[in-house]
Amino acid sequence: MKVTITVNGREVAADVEDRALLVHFLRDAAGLTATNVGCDTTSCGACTVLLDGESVKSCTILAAQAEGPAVTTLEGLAGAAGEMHPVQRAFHEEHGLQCGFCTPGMVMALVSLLQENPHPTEAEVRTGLEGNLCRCTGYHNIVRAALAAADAR
Amino acid sequence: MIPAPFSYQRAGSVADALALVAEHGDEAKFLAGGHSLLPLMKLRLAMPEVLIDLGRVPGLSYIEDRGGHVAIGALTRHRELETSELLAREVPLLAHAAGQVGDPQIRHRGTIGGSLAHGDPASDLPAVALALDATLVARGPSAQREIPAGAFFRSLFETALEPDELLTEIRVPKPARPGWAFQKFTKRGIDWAIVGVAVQGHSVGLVNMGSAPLRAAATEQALAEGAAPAEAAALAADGTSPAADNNASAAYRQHLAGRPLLLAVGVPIGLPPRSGRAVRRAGPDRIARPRTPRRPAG
Amino acid sequence: MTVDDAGPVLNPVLAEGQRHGGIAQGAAQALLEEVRYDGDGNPVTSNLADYAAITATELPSFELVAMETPTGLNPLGVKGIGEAGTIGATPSVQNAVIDAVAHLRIRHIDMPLTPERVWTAIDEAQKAGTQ
Repeated sequence: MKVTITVNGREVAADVEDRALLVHFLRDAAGLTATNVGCDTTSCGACTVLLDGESVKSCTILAAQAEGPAVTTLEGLAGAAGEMHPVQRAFHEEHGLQCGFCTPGMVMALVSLLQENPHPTEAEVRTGLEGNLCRCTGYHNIVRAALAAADAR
Repeated sequence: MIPAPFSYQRAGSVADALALVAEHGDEAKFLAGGHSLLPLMKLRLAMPEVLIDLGRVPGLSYIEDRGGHVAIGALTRHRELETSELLAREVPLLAHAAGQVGDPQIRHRGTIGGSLAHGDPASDLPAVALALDATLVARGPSAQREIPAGAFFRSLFETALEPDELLTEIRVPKPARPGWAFQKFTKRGIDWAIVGVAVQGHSVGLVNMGSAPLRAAATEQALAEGAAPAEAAALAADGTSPAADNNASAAYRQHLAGRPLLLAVGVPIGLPPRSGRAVRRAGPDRIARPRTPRRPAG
Repeated sequence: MTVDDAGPVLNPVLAEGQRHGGIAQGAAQALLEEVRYDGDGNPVTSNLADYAAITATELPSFELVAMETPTGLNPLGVKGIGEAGTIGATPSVQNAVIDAVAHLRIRHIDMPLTPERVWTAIDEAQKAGTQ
């Protein structure tokens, strides 16, 4: 079936199977490979993108379901002149990553979290990240990045 | 990882959805938020041949005060329930429990109708629907039915919905007794409940204590007969047959049913009893939650 | 909190991240994570839903104490960092739990120290104590 999805402000159309998942559409049809596939079970959150500004796990959404809303991936966060989004900058400054595989999902989850709760406590950040797994960092610097990004707003 | 092939159909209205399910019969499943069904499909534990996407059906997402009850559209997302001021005021148990489902990403997509229609005893909202004596409104090809929650959940993944019916609305009476509590015992924050309880007044719904969502009948009876909360709570597992699985043995579940329930009805273990106000449990009180997609029996 | 000595540290940011991650994984091994098999040797914890990978919700923030003692065994004086948090965290957490139940004469509980395992140990110790 033909599916047209608005990704980072531009329309991407592709002919995909009915069962195509949004994450595969983004990676394969739209060529946006920041969004990662990390598990089979909607557990890890590496595939997190924004749907109309809210964080969602793109591995558990059909491409067909995503026709209509605005999809934002990590590639769509930076400003028009390439300036980093505050959450991106905070990850850079606090070194909120090691291998980087979970990082796109973490950043997108936090963009949504901070949109809903602009000044979270550390506990609220940690609970807000329960859907995003990281093996490398122990979450310490990710949480620091989240709090720094909140302070920067 | 990838579902088996299926045909995707998009419903533009309730009538459309009913026509599509009539056309495709047993081979079709409704798709709402997709966060109960798609994980099963990705593991090939469910393989419907047709998916009828309800995502564009208008008029099924609302939370309305109807006087004696609150009416909730079946496509209302958990996040909307969690943040609803009306629910926080009138049915705080539901608002709170919806905020405990899964993780934020899941709450942005999952719907109350999808969760209830899925009929998983490990889900949080069925136990809440039981504790609140909700009524589930099902629209069929020729008629509309109102099904009490107590008659809705039949067994694992099986509800009273006929294959050609669509759940459209959940009606929640405004509680007569104000005290409420929701307590979930888990290993990790995101895990399914090992055991959970939803309490509204003297009504108690149990999470993951059987092959279907169920009420703690023995506890409810004891409370009705005037037993002290601690004694009534200790009876929570009576008459239940919880499953043994990767996360807990049946014996541990039966032990827990009394303990979290003790906390939920306001009697902290080892501490003096609190006042008659219900105990609210929020966020970091959870110890953790593994989220294993449930395997249907057989 | 961890104290690690990897000799001179060339990239502190990466080294600290390694230590954070190690603490998390070590604690997880003590508390949550386990690969399980059935009687026929089939893995039961075969995906991230069944395998209880630790999340930010379960963990605290960490405190790292820096020490840099160069070794004479190589020109840079550097030592390994990879086992820093992992090796120490697991027994620390295990010991803390056993200490908490030591008054019941419990000397050991198999890892991971899931709530059910701890409850079973307490339950059995209390029953043994009343005999």
